[in-house]
Amino acid sequence: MSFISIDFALFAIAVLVLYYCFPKKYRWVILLIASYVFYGMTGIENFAYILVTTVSAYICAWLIENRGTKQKIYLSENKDKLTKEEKKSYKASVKKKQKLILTVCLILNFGILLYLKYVDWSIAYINLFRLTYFGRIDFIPFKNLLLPLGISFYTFQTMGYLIDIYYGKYERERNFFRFALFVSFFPQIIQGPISRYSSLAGELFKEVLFDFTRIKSGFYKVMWGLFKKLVIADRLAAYVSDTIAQRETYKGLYILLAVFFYSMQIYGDFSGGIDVAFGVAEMFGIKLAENFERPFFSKSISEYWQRWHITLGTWFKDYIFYPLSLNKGIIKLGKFVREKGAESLGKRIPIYIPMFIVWFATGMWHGSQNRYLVWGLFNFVFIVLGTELEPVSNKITLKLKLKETDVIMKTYRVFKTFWLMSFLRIFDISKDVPSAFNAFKLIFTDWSSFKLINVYENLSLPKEDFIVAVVAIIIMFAFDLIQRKGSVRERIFRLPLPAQWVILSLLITAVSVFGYYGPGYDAASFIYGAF
Amino acid sequence: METIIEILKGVHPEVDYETETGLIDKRIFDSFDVVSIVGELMDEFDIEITAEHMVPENFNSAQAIFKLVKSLEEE
Amino acid sequence: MKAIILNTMKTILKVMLILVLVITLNRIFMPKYIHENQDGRITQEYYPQAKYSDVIFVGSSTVHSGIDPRVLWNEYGISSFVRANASQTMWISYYMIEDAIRVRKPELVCIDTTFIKYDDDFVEEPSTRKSLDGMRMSFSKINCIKASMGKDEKMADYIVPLFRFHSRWKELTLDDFRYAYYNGAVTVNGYLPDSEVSAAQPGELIYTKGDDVSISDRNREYLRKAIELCQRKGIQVLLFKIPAHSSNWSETYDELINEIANEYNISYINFDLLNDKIGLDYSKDTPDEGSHLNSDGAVKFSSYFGGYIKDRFNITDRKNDKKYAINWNRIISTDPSVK
Repeated sequence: MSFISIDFALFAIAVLVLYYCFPKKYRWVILLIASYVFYGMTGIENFAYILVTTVSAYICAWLIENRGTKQKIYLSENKDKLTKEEKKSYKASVKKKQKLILTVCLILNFGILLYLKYVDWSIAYINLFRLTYFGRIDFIPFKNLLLPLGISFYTFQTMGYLIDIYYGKYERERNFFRFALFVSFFPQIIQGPISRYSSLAGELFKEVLFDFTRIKSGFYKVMWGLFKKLVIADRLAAYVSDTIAQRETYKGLYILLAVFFYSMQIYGDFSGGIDVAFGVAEMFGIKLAENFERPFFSKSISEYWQRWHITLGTWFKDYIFYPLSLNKGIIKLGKFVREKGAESLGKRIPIYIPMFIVWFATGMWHGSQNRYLVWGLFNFVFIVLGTELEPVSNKITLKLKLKETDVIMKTYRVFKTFWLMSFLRIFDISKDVPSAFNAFKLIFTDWSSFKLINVYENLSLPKEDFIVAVVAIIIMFAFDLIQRKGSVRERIFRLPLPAQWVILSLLITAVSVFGYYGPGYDAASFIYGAF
Repeated sequence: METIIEILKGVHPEVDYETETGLIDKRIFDSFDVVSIVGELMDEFDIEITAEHMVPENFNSAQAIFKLVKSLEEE
Repeated sequence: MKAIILNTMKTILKVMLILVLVITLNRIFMPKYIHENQDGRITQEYYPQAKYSDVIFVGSSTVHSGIDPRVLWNEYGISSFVRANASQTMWISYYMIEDAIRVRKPELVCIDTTFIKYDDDFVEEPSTRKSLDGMRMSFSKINCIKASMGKDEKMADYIVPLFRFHSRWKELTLDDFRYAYYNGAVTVNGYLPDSEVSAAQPGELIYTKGDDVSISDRNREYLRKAIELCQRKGIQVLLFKIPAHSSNWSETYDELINEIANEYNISYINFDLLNDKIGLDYSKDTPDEGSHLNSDGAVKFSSYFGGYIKDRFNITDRKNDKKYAINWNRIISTDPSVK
């Protein structure tokens, strides 16, 4: 069941009614049942995957915590008998066991994810290898496995929880069913956000009173998400892929426009979808983690990645980057290099190596094709360059008698970041790495296309749709900017009622009329319909 | 406390660690500095600093770092 | 307590406002069928006339171009409505009857069987839309949508036609706003006169005949359902085939339909066989070489059909009923081609 469908709307309304009809204490049960029904509708066989993750994480968290509790009891009972060294070695042995449990669970869960995502990719390479070196043409057939819905999201979320338990950040969830809800909460299972147990659990299990304002507020958020998704993203989708696919026809400015619109499309699509999830959850009185913070106004790539898909970024930061960066081995390596005299290199090792791995993993997250890996590595290279060239760019800024706080400097940085990220997305829309490079090259080969006059006529998007898309994009950014000074919805709710109704009516009209959905209308078929 | 200031001096000798309370906020330390400092701290005090401790508040002043180390030693 | 009531009232008002907005958008975005394709208006124009509809005709385009209710009124005092849209399938016809009975019980239902020859999976979205979008919301409508929509169509798109027609925003004209809530008639109680003339190939009408002809299960099912529904409600039923000079009919159909008619003890008549009595001349009385009747043909056929009905069925003569007379005088004095 797609998120953006009448079916989902009806489903959500039904769950909402049930939710508020139930006693406060048991409302989470409704959410659990709804989440499993929702998940079941995507295919019964998918249950197996989510259950493996839920059960394995539940058991491992239990085992890990159990060791910790036993350790505490043992230590307090033998407080006086044990020497400091004995205590330490006992602690270390417990930690080792806990680590083993954690590792097994991580390998199992990420193993499933990697297998599902990369089995065909691997088969392709094995086939290529066999062909090249042994001349074998009996290719191993692809598995063509379908990824269970949201498996990346719930795997990350659940494994994050388990790592937190391992570090003793908080107590595990003892109730299996509550834990199952944390893993499967339906508004966020399709495309995140990747929540933290520490914040989501409190939201899921708190007892909320029915409040119409909350429903209204959630409804606005959903409509706004639909606006971004249906009016902007879906309208641009076909146009962008057409343009990139027919690159012999569309060169120069056309590709540049497609690149620009792709950025708009993916932002509208992703943040719009998150807004829908957010709004639906809000109606249940559950606040999800923010996933976007006006990313296109970032002044550097690292800043961009702190504002785009925030929950994924912080996940990588907390569970990959820092554990690696603060890993004794890597710190020792850095120290070793530093002591050998390579001071600056040594300093960089504990940062850049984990960063490289994070970007490699981010590339893998986005898709199982080489172009995503290349895309991730380019991100890495750009961030490294940005960091390393900072002194140089500071000097230039100083020479030009500019300050970082100047509007012109800010604008320049935002502009630069936006286009760097947009160009990188060519990897996302091209079919492979060479074709991405080719597309990039083609932007700069057809200068005649930059004569703006005839652009309209040759766009594969009808002029009216083009105008709607542009106006909608302007509205989207206008609201993003207003939002900087606090919640737009709260401000709308402070307006007089008639003004609120006008805004709501416009929003509903915009989404239902200008949304890009349905089979389209072919007037001719209605006019010349058969007798 | 002295050991900590010594470690800090090893990275940025020019800073007055007794009074400075904006080591991160004022961008005196960059991320490279923080990670090397953390490495030294972990070695010196035999503690484990993890991702959750990596927040500006814990590294803005020598005093804050001292507090962090103390709390981790007690564990 | 007062606050709760006030809040509830406010909430209800807000929901109502949203509803009004959506309904208005629906009205604006649905195709208008005012100046052309008026068959798209037939379904909705029934409701104001329901209380005068003693006789209901269902069928497809051949029926809405071949039966002129004015003739039936003038000559026989029969007050009737033609619920026949283009390409109206047997199942849509069934629900047209169900819907009509729901609103007001007629005295006689005449079912044209021309469309019985089509397959079970006959789906033509524009026709389904024209038949259904004007229908008032009811279980009949929901069931009719279920029975008629194509595989890729969605129920929600029929309940909220805006979802289907929203992309018309590019081609909206002033008419879409002007006629959004237009309730006037553009058809003559479902009849759409066509004054064109395009002669059919001269010669005798020859039917094919063969074993390959059959009535599909679904058509059979809905024809039976229609007859049974009428009989249950005590409504008289007639099965007929409207005249057309077209060879894609088979005597076998007549035989098969007769079997069903006999089973329910009702009549079936193929008017093609009575052409001499009706006096149709396919060199003048058709707008499209015999597929349909034009207005001259419709007058001739209606005159004959009216007599046929009058002779065989128990229909109240409304000539002296004042309300009926006023209604019909108004219909006859308005030329539907002037809007």
